[in-house]
Amino acid sequence: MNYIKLILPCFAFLVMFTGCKKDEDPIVSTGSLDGIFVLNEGSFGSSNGSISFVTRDGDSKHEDLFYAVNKRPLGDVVQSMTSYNGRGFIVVNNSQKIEIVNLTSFKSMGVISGFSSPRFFLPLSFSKAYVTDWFANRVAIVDLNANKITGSISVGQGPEQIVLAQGRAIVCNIGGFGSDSTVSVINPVTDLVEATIAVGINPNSMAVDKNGAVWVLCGGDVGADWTGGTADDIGGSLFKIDPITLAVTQSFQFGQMNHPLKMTIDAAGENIFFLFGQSAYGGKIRKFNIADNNLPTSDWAAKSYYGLGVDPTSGNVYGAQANDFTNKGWIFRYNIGGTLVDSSKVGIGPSGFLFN
Amino acid sequence: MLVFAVFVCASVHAQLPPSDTLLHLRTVEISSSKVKRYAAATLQIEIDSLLIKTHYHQQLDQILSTQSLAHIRSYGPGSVSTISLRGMSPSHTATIWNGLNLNSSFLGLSDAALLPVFFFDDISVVHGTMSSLTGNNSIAGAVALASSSSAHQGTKLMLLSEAGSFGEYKLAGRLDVGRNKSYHSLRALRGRAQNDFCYDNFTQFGTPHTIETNAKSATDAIMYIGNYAPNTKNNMSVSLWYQHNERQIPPLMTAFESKEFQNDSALRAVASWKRFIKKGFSNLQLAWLNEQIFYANPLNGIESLSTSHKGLVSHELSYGPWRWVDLGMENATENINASADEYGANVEELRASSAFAANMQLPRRTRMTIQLQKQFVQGFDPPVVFAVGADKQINGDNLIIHAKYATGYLVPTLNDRYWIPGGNLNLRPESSSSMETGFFLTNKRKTSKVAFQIYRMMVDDWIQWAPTLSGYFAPANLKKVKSQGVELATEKSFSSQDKKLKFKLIASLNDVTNVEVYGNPASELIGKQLVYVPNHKLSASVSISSKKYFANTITTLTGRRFTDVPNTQEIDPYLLTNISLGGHYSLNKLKFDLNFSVNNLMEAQYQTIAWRAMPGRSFHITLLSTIN
Repeated sequence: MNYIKLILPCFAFLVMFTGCKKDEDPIVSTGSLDGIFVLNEGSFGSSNGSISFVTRDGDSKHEDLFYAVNKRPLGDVVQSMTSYNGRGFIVVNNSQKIEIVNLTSFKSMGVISGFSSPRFFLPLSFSKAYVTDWFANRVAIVDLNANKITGSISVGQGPEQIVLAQGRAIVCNIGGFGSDSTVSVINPVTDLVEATIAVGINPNSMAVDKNGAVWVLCGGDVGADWTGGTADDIGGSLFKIDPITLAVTQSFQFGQMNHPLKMTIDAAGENIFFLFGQSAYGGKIRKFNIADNNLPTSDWAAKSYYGLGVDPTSGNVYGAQANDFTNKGWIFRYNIGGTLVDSSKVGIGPSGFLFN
Repeated sequence: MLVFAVFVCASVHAQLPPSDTLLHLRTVEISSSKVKRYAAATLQIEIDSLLIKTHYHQQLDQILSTQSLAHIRSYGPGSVSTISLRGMSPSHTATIWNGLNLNSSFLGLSDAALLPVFFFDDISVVHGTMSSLTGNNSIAGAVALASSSSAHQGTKLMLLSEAGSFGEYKLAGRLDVGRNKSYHSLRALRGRAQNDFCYDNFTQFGTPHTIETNAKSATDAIMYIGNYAPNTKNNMSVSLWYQHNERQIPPLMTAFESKEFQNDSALRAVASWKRFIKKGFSNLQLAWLNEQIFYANPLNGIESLSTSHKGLVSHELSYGPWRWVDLGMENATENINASADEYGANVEELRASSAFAANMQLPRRTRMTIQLQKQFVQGFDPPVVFAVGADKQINGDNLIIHAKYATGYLVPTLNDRYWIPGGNLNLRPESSSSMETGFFLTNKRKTSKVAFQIYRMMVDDWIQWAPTLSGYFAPANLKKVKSQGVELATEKSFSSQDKKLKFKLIASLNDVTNVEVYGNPASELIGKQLVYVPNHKLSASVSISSKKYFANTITTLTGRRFTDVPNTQEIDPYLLTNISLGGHYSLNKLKFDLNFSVNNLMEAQYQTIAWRAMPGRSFHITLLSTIN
C-alpha cells in the first residue's frame, strides 16, 4: 500500500481548512455624536464593557460604539468617562487603562496604561491630568502629551472620585476593601497633599455647587456580611466643604441601613441628585437643594437604579438599570419635573453617563 | 530510507454490560472501574494505552481536547481547564480516579490542567448521566481514570524527559516492581513552564506584539500504587497521590498586568480490600482526600485560603447467582470538613448513599442493566436516581442497538452555600432526566467501527451565579436547561504486515438552551444557547505506524461559542492541527521511544475563553526510556 498517496490528500485538506479567514467587518459611520454616552461596565472578568450612544430624543443609535468603530473590545469594567479638549478619556477599571477616543468619530487615539485599578480622570491642563488608582491608594499624575504616568501622590484607602474646586484637586477615599472616612486635598501645582479632611464613612461621590462648595456623599458601611440591615450597619452621610478654608461647613446624617451613592448636580449647581437605598450599590433617585436644611425623605422617582446622570444641556435626569449584569441594561429618561419620558436599551451593566 | 510509522488511536465503542463481569477482572486491578463495569449502553471513548503513552508529557485537558468529544474550557496553557460534556456545566462531569470522585468540594468541578497523563494507565470518557453509579457531578457523564501497578514479575523502570516551546520541560519516572504476590508502582513528576508565548494583541491600541506575562506554572507530584494478593481469593491495594501546583494567573488580553497566583495541593489516598467469593466479590474501600487552594492578588491585597478534608468508606458487593445476571450493591458514607476564609466558620457535612445495580443477559441476545441510587446529604434531599438501559445484538455482534433512560442530580457545592457574600443555604439540588439511543456497527474483522448516539436531557433547578445589585455574585436555582444532540465516533484501519494505517473521526452536535427562567416566564433568555457551548466539535486523525516508527496528525474543529447570555457576542470557531512523529529503538533490555510533536501547526489564533490568549505553534520533544 502506498501510504504517501493517502496521507498527502489528508494533510492538504486539513491545511486548506485551516487557511480559511473571515472577512474584516466594514468601518461604521457614527454620524453626529451629539448626545449621551452611556457607560456600561459589562460583566466583571468578561471584558464586555461598552459605551452605548443615545441621542437626546431617546434614539438608541449604538449599543457598543467603541467596538463598532474600532473593531476591538473596550475592556473589562468601564468605570468613568471624561471629555476634554475634543477627546474622551474612558477609564476601564479592570483592564487597568484609559482609552482615548476622538469625540467626533469615536476613533481610538491612544491608551494610557500602568494603573492597578483606575477609577476617575481629572484633566488639569492640555498636558496634565490626575487619575485615581484604587488598589494603589494613589493619584497617578499623567502626561497627556506622552500618555504616560509620570508620578504619583499617596492618598487614603481606595481613592474614588476626584473634582477640581478653587484650584485644588479633591479626592474622596472610599475605603478600598476596608474603610476610610477622609477626603484628600491636593495642590495640582506642587502635586502634594495639602490636607486630609475627615468626613463620614466611605465617601463615594462629590459635586461642586454654584458657590464653589464641595459636597461629599458618604455611603456608610453595610457591615462585614455585606448584607446590611444588621447591627453593624452604619448609615451614610452628606458633608459640605469650603475648598478655600478646607473646613466642613455643614453635615447631614442618614439613618441606619440608608446608603446613598452616585451623587451628581444639575447645570445650575443648585440641585443635587443621588441614589438612595439599603444596598451600597443602587437605589431610588432623591433630590436635595443646596439650600435645604434637611435631607429629603421621599423619592424623586420610583424606580431603582444602578447609575445616575443629569444632562447639563436639557436638564433631563437619567437612571440606569443594570439588572443582572448578564443581559442588556436599560436607561430611563425623566424631565425636570420628574416625569418618566422614555427608556432605551443599552449595553451590559450601565452605570454612568457622559453628556456630549 | 523507508519511513514506517506506528499507529495509535483512541478506541471507540459502545460500552456494554459485560456478560461475565468476573472474567474481566485483572490480577492486579486495584479498583475495577465501577463506571465502566456497570455503564449502561452508552457511548464510551476509551483512549488506548499506546495513545496515552505518546501523550505522557501532557495534562489531561490536552489529551481530552483532541481525543474525545469533551469541550475543554481552558484559560490558557497552565491555567484552569475544565471539562464539559454535552454542553453541560463542568460540575456536571465527574472525574473519577481509582473509584474516588476528584471534583472539588468547593467548586464542584475538576481542573484537568492539574492531572498529568503520565500518572494514568486508563482514560475513558463515558457519555450520559451516571448519577446512579457515581452519585454527584455526573449528570452529563464521567471521565474515568485508573492508575495501576504492572502485572509483571520483576522490575521495570521508565524515565520521561520532555522539553517544549515557551520554557516548558517535564521530568518523570516510574518504577514498577513485581515480587511474588505483591506489585508496586512508584511514579514522580516535575513539570515547569514559563508559558511566555507571543501573540498579536488585537484588543489593544495598535495591536502590539505581546508576550504573555505572569503565566508560569509548576507541578510536583508523586504517586504510589501497591497491590498484594496473598491468595486467589483476596486482593488488597493502596493508591496514594500527592501533588502540589503553583500557577500564576495571566492578565486578560484587554488588561496590562496581573500579579495573581494560585497554589493548589492535594493528597488522595484509596485503600481497598477485594475478596472473591463464590460467584462474586466484595470490595471494601477507604478513601481520604485533602485539598488546599490558596489564591492571592498582591495588587489589591486579597488572599484566600480554602482547605477541605473528605473521608469516605464504601462497600460494594457483586454477586452473580445465575449465569444470566450480575447483581451489585454499594453502601457508602462520606464526611466533609472544610474551611475557607470566606466561609466565616468551619463547615462539616455528612453524606451517605445506597446503590443497587443489575446486569442481565436476556433471551434473543438482549442485555439489560438497571441501577438505582439514593443519597442522603445533611440539609438536602436529593431525589432517588435510576438508570435503565438495554442493548440488542443483531447479526452476531456486528450491529448492536442500545437505549437508555437515566435520572441524575447535583448537590450545591460548598461555595454555593457558604461563600460570604452570596452563599445561599436555600438552594435546591439540581435534577435531571436523560434518554439516549444509538448503535454500534463493526465489520467481522473489526477494522471498521461506527458508534452513533442521539440524546436529549433536561436539567431542572440549574444553579447559576449571577451578579446582584448588592455588588457581589450570588447563586440561585435559576432555570431549566435542555441539551440535545448527536454523537458520532468512527474508525477505519488497514493493516499490511507490520504496518498499520488508521483513520478516526469523532463529532458531536449540541443544542443546549434555556427552556425556562424562573420568576421570568417571558425572559428573552429562553431558547438561547448556553454560554461557551460550541454547537459542534469535530476531530479527525490519520495515523500510520510500524514496529519502529509512527506518525500521527489530528485536526480538531470547535464551533462558535456565545460569550454572553443573550447570544449577541461570540468567539470564532477554530481549527487546530497537531502532528507527531516518532520512533522506537531497543537495545537489550533498554527501550527508547522518541517523539517529536508540533501543536497548533497552522498557528491558528483562537480563544476558548473570551480574551484569554492562547499560544500559536509550539514544538515538543519527548524521550521515554524503559529498562526491563
